[in-house]
Amino acid sequence: MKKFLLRVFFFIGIIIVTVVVDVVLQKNLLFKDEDLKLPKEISILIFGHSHPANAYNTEYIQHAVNLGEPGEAYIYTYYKAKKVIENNPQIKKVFIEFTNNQIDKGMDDWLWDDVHLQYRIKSYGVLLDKEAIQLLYKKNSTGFINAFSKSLFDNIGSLFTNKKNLILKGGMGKFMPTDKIIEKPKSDSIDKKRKLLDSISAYNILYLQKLVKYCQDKKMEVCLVRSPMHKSYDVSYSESVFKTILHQNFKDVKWLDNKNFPLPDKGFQDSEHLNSFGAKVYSQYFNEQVNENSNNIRQ
Amino acid sequence: MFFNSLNFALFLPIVFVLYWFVMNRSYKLQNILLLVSSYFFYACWDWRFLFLLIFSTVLDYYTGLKMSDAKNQKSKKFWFWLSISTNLGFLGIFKYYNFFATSFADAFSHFGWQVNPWTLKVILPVGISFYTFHGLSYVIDIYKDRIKAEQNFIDYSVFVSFFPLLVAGPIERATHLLPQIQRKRTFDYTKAVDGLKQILWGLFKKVVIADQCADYANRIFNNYSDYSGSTLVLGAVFFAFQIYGDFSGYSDIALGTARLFGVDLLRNFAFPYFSRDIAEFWRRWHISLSTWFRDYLYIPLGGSKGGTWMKVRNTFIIFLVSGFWHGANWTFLAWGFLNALFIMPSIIFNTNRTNLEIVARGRSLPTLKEFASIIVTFSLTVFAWIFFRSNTIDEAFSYILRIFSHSFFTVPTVRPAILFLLLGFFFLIEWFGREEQFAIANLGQKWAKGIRWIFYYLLAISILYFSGSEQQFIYFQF
Repeated sequence: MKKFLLRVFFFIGIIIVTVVVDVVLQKNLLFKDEDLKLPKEISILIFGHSHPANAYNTEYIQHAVNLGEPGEAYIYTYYKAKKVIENNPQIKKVFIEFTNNQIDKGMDDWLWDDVHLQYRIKSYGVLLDKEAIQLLYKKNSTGFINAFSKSLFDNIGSLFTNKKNLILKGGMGKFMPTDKIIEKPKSDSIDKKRKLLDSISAYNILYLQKLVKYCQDKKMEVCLVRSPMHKSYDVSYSESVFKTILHQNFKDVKWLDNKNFPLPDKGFQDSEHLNSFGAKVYSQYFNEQVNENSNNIRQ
Repeated sequence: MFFNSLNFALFLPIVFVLYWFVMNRSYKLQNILLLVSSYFFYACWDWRFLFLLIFSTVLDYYTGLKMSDAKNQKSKKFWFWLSISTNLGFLGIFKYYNFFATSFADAFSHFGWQVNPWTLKVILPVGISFYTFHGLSYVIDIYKDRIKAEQNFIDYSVFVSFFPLLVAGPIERATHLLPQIQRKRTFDYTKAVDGLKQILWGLFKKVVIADQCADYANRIFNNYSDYSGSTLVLGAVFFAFQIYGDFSGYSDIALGTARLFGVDLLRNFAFPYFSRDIAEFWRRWHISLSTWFRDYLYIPLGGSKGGTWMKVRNTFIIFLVSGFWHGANWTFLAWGFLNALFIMPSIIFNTNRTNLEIVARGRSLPTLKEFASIIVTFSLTVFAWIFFRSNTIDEAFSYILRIFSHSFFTVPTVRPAILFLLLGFFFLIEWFGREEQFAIANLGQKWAKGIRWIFYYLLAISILYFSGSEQQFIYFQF
């Protein structure tokens, strides 16, 4: 029995050592400080999910970098933003997408369902702190463990690649252009499924608050922004709740509502996302808003 | 609690330590521990159905005693039929009631009579088909005077509920398992190491082979109208490996786990995809179920003693019942029927026991004839799996019709290179380990110890790597 147990412990020990070594390597090599340095002239960061990823073409926005990523919940944005800001003291302004679908209970899936966990833990797992790990483990222990174990191996290749200028290369989010144009736009085509807002995702909002507070503590100008949406996208199902959350939880935060920015149908790829053309037009306008006349940003 | 879950990874060592270090003073204490942990294991899935399991156990235990004590045949028969009808009654209600109700309603509707059947909104208790068959074999064996009724309720309950086999078999026999439960078990290093190796290989089959195949098989079967004929063939092959990896992987984990506790369970798989004919396939696939049907249905029906017609009839009966055992759906019946058809030539021409030994014993490669036989048998099996996997008979026929379209001669549009590599590796290990109880039982015995450990290490790492979303075992639903 003693021999058996010793061998079992030895075998499990080897596996554990492998995992620990891998985690330590990833902690130290995946996001090295020198790889995260942005050029001195970059002073604006844009965060959020697919809406900003499709909407902000930073070729037309001076001093800005777009770190939006499709399907990203605020918990991951929070840890990503912290890491980027820590390494770039020149950042003065942070724009965070805040739109109707981000209050929806469905955002919980973006936080901890199996699919999102696998993707996000691989990307940002090593940036999470104890509190975030405990939350994700509590909400989906199996999914978290599986995503974590998979990330251990998926990231091995990344440990040894050149990650210089990781942010500018799009390694932490980027502008995602597309030439697709919205099909058969109808102003009255209201998605019936969106008629009711079941409940809100408290954790998504909580981590947005944390992100805002972190930026404020760093004395940065924080602004929540709602990117343009097609007229066929009906927000009435959640607008009053959305506005209530905005006024109650973010009353001291600047709010830039570009939802109704006038864009033709050919500027949208679907009712929620801009295409390349729409992004160009909107980004030029946004550049004026944020770089030339900051009074456009209303409290 | 699944075998491939973190919970089980914690549960197993705890029970192991308690079993060998705390409860090791007597096998009776160990049996109590096994029973409590088995009920806990089952309750983790749904504690409400634990009462059904306990009821079934009490019923068979009590009727077994009553049959043993019966003064006359009439009384014995009464207790026998009470147990059989109650067991089958539960199985019928939970598993088959809705199927019969809706099938009758459909049949009536063909005659223009609209019937709205009353259906049950219940989920199938996990493992009911398995523990019911445990109980049935026990009761039948007592009735036939093959065994004596077990006096000790704890021992009998462990026989029915032993957690490694509780939810998906192997379907044990009282004659095989009960004696092991009733005697002192001593720790056997070789057996325990073998058990761990079998668990490791079972997990590899499940997590690396079955779950990865499932991704592609599900995608192709769920959207079969979007794929070419050649891709659909590949989808069916993926499903064949999925179900083999899934179920034989489960059986390996169950057998390996039982060995850690000093218990040997019945072998359930013996490299079925290397079979040279369908009869051999059925001697190697889900062996505990096949032998159950042979002993408790085929032989009582007359077996092969009554001439060709009786053999044909009995073969069809057991394959149809076997199909129906898997689930209340016409697709399973069709799958059973197809297998009966496939095996029929060997039944009629009395060649069903030609290939008893594993193929190419003592040789590295099969002969050309053996190779061709394996390919033909595998193809027939894959064809039958299409019915097993499809949701309806119509869907299965559409799938098959689409296979035999002009797109059959195109290059498959789904070509997962990593999965092909994994399957190649899996095939090689299974082939070279085919003369053993499980593929890696003796693999690498001649290698240096370090190399052997690296092999086990790589298996463990690959399991860790491929452990995506926790997938339920297919046979849990049966």
